[in-house]
Amino acid sequence: MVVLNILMLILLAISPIAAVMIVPGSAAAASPPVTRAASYEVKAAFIYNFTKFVTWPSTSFVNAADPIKVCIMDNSALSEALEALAGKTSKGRHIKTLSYQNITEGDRCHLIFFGESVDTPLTKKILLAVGKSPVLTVGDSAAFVQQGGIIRFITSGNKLAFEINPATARRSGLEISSKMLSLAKIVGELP
Amino acid sequence: MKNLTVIIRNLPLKQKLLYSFMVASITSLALACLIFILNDYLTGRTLLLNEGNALADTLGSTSTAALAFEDKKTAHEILQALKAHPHIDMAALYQKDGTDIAVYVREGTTGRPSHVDSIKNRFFDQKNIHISRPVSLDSEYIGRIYLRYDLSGLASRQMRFIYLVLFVLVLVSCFTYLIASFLMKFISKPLKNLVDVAHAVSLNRDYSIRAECFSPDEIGVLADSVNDMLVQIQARDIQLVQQQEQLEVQVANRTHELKTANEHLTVEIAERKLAELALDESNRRLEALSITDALTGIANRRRFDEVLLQEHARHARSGGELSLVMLDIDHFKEFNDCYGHVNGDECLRQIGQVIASSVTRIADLAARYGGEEFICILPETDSEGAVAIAEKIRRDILALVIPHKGSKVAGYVTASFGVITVKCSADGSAAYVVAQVDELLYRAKFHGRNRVVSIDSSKAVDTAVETSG
Repeated sequence: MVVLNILMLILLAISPIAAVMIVPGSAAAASPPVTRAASYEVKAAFIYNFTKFVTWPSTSFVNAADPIKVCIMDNSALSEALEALAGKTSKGRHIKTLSYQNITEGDRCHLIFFGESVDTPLTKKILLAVGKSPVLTVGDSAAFVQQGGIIRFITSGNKLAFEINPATARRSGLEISSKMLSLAKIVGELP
Repeated sequence: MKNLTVIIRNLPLKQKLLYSFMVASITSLALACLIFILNDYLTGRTLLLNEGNALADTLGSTSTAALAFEDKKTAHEILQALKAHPHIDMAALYQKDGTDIAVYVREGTTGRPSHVDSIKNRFFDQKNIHISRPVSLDSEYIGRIYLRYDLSGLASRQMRFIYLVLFVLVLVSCFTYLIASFLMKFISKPLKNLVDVAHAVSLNRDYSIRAECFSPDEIGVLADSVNDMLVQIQARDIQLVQQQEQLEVQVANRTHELKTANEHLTVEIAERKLAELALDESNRRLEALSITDALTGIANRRRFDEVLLQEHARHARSGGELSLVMLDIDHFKEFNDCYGHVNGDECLRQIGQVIASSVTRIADLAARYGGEEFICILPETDSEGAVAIAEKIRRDILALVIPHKGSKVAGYVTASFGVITVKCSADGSAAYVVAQVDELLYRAKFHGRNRVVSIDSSKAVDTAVETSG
């Protein structure tokens, strides 16, 4: 709990800087808008599917009505696609999306998506803050899994795929369905 | 159908039972087999369906992630696992929008699964079962899995089963026939026995025959009843025979009695006949006695009266001449006094014989009139004939030469005669004729005895004629 609170504080502390840093980058990267938008939507769908194949420990929810909180550490167009997830349900829980701008102190994220705009040091910091908490971390950056992230998007041929570090997930107290694992590229030490 | 009923009705009981048994058992067996075949078919289908459903569920569940993440490669790999199921010839995984992300077609199978087939949850056509299950993730419909079963394996299995059932039916029929034939004996044999007994009884009328009793069942009861009946009939028969014998004895006794009585009667009748004969004899004798003079043997006075009346009446009708000759022994009182009554009787007897020997015509009658007086009736005789007869008698008496000392006429016995000849009339009486001849006899006595005095009253001249020796 303390760790999470610290993380939140960190997040709040860095957010204006991050916003300043990320926004121009994202704007510059939006050269092929249609393809990107399509790829964002696919990623959003993937993230939604992840919530279905991953089981969080019951202690990570306050009660049965507690939503799955998806925190988006990005300001790109993907965040908009992810916003569309809000209102959907997964495993009987609503999905609540929180963008980095409006994460408050009391919020505890179940899934944190690290967008391209989040740089490596920040990622490292947050991942450290998350530590062994049951938070599904999903990222885009090449060294994301090596830094302690659980799922990373990759491209296989021209298709979107993902790689998983099951060991990290297990340490965080998360159960990832074997069905999903069978689709993933497994990285890190084998369980 | 009617013919069949007639044929069945005409069958012997044993065959009826046998065929009923066989038809019943084979029908039940065939029915059971049919049910088994049907059950096998349905079970086979159900098993296939269940298997298919389970497989579809498993595959669907396995492929949720592949569907969710649209991972065609994994989906394809998942469907390739169906190679282990020989009955499945087609399979497909469809996404929500109906596009397939993986298709499986068994080697040697032509065609491709179509999404249309997978819309229904399941259906059958002639060769296949189509099973289609929705795949959902977290209760959200994400796609559909489709499996197609080839039923040719099931059908060939079914055919094998039918052949087996037919074989079993034939086998069971043979066994049923053998067993039924054996078991039928327990029913048909006692029945046949009963029938034979009934035949023998009705044919020979022999009620001493008894039905053999094999079992305590209905047939046994029937046999017992028949035996009881036979016992009763036999008893009645014996009773009847006894009664008949008694009756015969009674009849024989009665017949014997009757015979004896008859014999008695016959004897009695014979005796009575003898008695009657004796009676007749005595009657005749009595009659003879009554019309004959005991001493002389010629007719007596009574007989004379009778014959005279008859002859008088007859002559009155015929108008013929009737003659009477009356004679009296001269001085017979003196003869008796002189020679005694014994000699007198002897004299009378001799004279009677003389008269009888002279009056010989059938219609003539010589009778003793009384004492020493005799009289003769000479029917259809004229005066001449009558006088001749009287003269003959007179001479014959003289010719006897019976000595008579007391006679004043001669030394011998003599007699005097009156002879009358009349034509009888209805008004004339017989008694008058006798009186007339008596008168003539008196005249002959008066004129010297030993003479004949006659009158022919049939002539107009009524003159007495006297003749003498």
